[in-house]
Amino acid sequence: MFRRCVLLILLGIQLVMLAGCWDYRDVNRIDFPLAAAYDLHEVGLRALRDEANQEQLIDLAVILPNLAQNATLKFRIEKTTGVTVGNARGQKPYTSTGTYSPGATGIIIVGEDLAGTGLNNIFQALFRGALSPSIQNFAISEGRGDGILEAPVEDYLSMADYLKGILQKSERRGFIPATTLHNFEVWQGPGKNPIMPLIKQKNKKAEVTGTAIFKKDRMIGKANLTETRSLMLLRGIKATGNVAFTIKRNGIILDRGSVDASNKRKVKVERNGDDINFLIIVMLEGNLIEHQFGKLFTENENLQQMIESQIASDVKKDCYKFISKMQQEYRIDCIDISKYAVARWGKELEDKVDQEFIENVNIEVEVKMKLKNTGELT
Amino acid sequence: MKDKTSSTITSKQLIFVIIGSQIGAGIFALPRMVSGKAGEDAWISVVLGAIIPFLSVFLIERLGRRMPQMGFTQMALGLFGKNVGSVLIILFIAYVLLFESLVVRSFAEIANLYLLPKTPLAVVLLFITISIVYIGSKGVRVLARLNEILFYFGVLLLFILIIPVGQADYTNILPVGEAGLKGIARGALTTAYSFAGTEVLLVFYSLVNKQEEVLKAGLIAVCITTLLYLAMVITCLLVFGVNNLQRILWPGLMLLKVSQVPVLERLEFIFLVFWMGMGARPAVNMGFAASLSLSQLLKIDEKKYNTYALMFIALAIYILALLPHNLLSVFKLWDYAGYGFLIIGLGYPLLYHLAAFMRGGKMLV
Amino acid sequence: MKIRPRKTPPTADARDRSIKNIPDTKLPVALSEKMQLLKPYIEKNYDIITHSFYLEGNPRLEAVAVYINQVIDIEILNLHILKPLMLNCDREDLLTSGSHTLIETIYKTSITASRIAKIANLSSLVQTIFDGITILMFDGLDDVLAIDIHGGKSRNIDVPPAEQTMRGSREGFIERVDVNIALIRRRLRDPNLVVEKTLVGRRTRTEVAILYIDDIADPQIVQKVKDRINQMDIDGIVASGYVEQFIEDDPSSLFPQVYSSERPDKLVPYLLEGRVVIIVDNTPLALAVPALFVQFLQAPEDYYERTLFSSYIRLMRYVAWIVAVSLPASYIALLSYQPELLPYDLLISFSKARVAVPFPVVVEALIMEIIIQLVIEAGLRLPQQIGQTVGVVSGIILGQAAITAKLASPIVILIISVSVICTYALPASSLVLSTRIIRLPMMMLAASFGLFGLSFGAIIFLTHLVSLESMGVPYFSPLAPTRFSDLKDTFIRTFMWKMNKRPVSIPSHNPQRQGNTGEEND
Repeated sequence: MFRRCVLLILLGIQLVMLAGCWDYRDVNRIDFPLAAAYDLHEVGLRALRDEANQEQLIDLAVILPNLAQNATLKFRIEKTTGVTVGNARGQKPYTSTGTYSPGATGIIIVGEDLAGTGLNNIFQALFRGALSPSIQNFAISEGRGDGILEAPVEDYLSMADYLKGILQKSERRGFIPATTLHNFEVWQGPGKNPIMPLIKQKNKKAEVTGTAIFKKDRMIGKANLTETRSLMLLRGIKATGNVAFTIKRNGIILDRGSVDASNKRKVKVERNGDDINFLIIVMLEGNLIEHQFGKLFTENENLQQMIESQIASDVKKDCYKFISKMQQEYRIDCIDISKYAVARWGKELEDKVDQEFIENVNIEVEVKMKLKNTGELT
Repeated sequence: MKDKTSSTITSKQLIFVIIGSQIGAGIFALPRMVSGKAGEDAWISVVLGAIIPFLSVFLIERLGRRMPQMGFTQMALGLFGKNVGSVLIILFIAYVLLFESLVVRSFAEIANLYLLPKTPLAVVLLFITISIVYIGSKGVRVLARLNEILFYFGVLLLFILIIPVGQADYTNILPVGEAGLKGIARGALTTAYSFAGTEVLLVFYSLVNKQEEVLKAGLIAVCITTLLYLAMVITCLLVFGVNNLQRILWPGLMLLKVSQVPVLERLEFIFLVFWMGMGARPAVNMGFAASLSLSQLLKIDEKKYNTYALMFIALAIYILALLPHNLLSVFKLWDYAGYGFLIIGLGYPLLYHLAAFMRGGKMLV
Repeated sequence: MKIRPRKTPPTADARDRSIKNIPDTKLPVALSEKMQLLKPYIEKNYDIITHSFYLEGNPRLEAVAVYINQVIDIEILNLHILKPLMLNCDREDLLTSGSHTLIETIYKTSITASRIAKIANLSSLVQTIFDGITILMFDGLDDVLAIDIHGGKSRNIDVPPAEQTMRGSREGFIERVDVNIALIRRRLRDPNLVVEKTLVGRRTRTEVAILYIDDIADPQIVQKVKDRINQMDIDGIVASGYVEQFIEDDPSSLFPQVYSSERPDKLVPYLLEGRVVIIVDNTPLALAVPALFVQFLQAPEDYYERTLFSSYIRLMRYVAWIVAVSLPASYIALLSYQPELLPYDLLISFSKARVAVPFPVVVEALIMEIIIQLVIEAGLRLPQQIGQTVGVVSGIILGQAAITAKLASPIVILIISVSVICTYALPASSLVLSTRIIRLPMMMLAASFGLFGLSFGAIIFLTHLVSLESMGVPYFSPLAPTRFSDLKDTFIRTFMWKMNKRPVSIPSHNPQRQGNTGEEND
């Protein structure tokens, strides 16, 4: 009897709930943004909004897919402006239908200007929402971010698809850092600084132009593509990309070609009193793609070794160049080595590792290149 | 069904009952709480913190061995007389009510945060309460079997934790010993609170069929719990680092958001769906123990009225769980529940031992 | 928490009295008086035939055979009983030496009539006639002979239509209990196989046979089965389902707690594992208890095919069961509560598919579910040829029409169809039924609380499964309580020569099954 009563009560509750409970959302009434771009609001336009007296406004642009079968466009771009990210999202009901589900966004583009003001405050909204994953991919755009989303694409469903292809797991395709929300958070620990890929709109497309260097959450500099490669190698982000080489002897080009290489790194740290010495060992391993001057490996026994040492010395040179730029221009540790010192000496260093630490340490680089495979030709 | 409340469970099932009473929603917050006190050395704290539950299991087992035929209430009444004994039992029940209301509330808060943001807490809690009553009404054997199968489910789920290890950075748990003895000890105390649940043995001891194996079972249970806690804390430390952990409400759940899995895309929801059984499990076990004590104290027919006693307990848990204003006050109350654990898990058996020693084997009732 | 009361069994006395108030009078000597006594009970029945005949002698001895038409084998009666009696028996012999000689005579002269008894009173005489036994009454002899020559037409042993296999025996049970017992006996020649028979049903008096292997089956379980069958107080049973409902432990559960099968080769291994088999007359389905949940996901082919393949198929069945129960519910929960959980591209294609559908996801899914359930039901009742047509028509045309009419999206049709296919991939028809029902509450819960509701439903069903018992044996073992030694024959099926012990989940007092070590003897 008791059980029947409980069953009846449950059934009753069920029937009431079935009508649609507190959390029911119709999937067709939700807007799932494919990609979002955050920018600082342009000064001249401030007067257009009620919040004009605010110091800083944020523009949010999202790409939303058009679901209706007879829609002429596959996607639409909606722009709103607010005091914060959440506020900008909150403006959406006034300008478009549907509820907004920020959790689905896979790609987030941040404008250069906004990145310069510090991103932690901006990203609070992304982190706090329990529905957002921490695997959204980030990129900084040179110029405004919404411009990139608006770029007309013909070969892809929308710019978001293109960006997804270019940003997700990008380190597997080339020396491009892939930064997710989780990475961005974790890379702000003591002695660490985040980096993000830098993209730019060009000819109806967006292309990767380098890396944005961050001091904690604030963007302080850019690195071009060559520097990005050195940065990736030094930072130890496992990537695969093409490295070219030219072997010259006495001004004569002996050979030229390229290899597809993957990297690994090892860091050793030593201390003499206040001097701290780092040794970064970059290990490259790859396959020869081409070498142009028709020399045969069977006839030139040391050719393979020459290529290896040439690449190693080229890479090493680039790395030193980048390290000196880092120590003099960025003045922050963007190659993620201070953490080894912190792990070794703990509290003693933890407090000062983020202030004028990297400028005063000695960094040595060692590059080892190994050609695993030279292809089908001899 | 036959004799429900007086039927017995095996010592193997006791392992799962103890584990089930220990691991609740707290495991998700544990990495933050411990690393807040012990920093990089949180994992040492977890290992050290396990000493208290070990001690608790040991003391309760010795107590049971001293008076193998007696249940928890009989013991209290026999050793301390009717008045003091009743007070002790009521205190135990009150502790269960407070403790389990917190367990249930935290679990409901998680469900509310991730699954049903707009549904009132009262409704979510109602469903959890219903499952507590339903499971408890089936009797101790079913309870033990359910704990058993849910444990295996839980172990399968915790394998999901391995996925984010790809994001780990080993420098996050170095250097060892940074927090100092004081920090580690404070962290260990925090962990010890998370081990609350071994006191369920007070009631379940007399229900085990092979009582000579209880000690072994209890120790195995605490070992497994320690291992699971350790795995959780170390993974969180490796992936997030101490500083980041302090900002995250439920690091254990955030862990599931950091890595992309093909096909499923998102792990945390799947985890939570299966967690339902596990989140309510401590409340089911402890609630059952409390209802059994209550019906024994009131001297009513256990077989017939245990379900009603359980309904009363569950109702009290439901109301108490609704009382805290927000999650923050829940976390604050956790500390008091922790003291409660020390009193019930360590103080009670010690007190009983003392009384038994003084009485020299003679019982009052 | 038994809802159905279990009373003490009615005494044999009470049962007999309840049939009809037949006086317990001793039968008179004269045939005409016997007929007079018997007449009120049989005269209204057209199908009871009284066949008078004479035995040799001077004057000839009058005798009557009473039997029910088509229930006995008339051939045997004529050729092997009546004919020899008429020709060889002498009045004098008979009257002087009494009925004993008569039985001797029939034994010796008739080949087939093997079971003969004497009846001395009226009430058992009437009952015997209605039990389908031929009665021979003689003038001047107070004993009446009852000869069991059951016969008449019955179905041939045939391929069991609902449980076909690729390998293994093609024989299925038929409606005759003795034939069915023989089918089992032929496969199991153990002298320890016990076949006990009782009669159940006040009026139908159906034969129920209880089979078990004496030195394997747990005596407590055997006793429990016997007790529960003896406690059945019902006026009639016509199928084994009646017995099933009376002996199961929890009648209000959704899960079957008694295993039923129409294949003797399925039941013989169960007997060997220590189970008790119940065969009911007039039903081609035999029952086996205690039943475990995992048993309903196992098929006899698992043991006929090779290990790897059958393990694979068995795992697939578990997947099928989980999908059948939870797929529509998950779809509803994900689409109406937690869409962010789906991969983005999948989400958009789901969303696009149902742009034109005006209903909430749950309504859409329920419409399709109900339609498909009705189609299945219609297909079962219709003649086979039409049934197939209905299946095809509903599958293709209805589905297409529902999409065009914007009643449902293609995705939901896919989801429901997959879950239906998974349901019918289960080998046991009783589990198919319960799976069809369980799907509904899961869908409701998912529709009202999303994944949280699904999880609530799962824990409730899990608790229920764990709490069920079949003849006092935990229903969900070997999963909970976990019996590791039985897991080798649960999700997978290990090598035959490795299964040296009988399953622990079924209590038995002879755990050793076989003695293979797996090593070759040189």
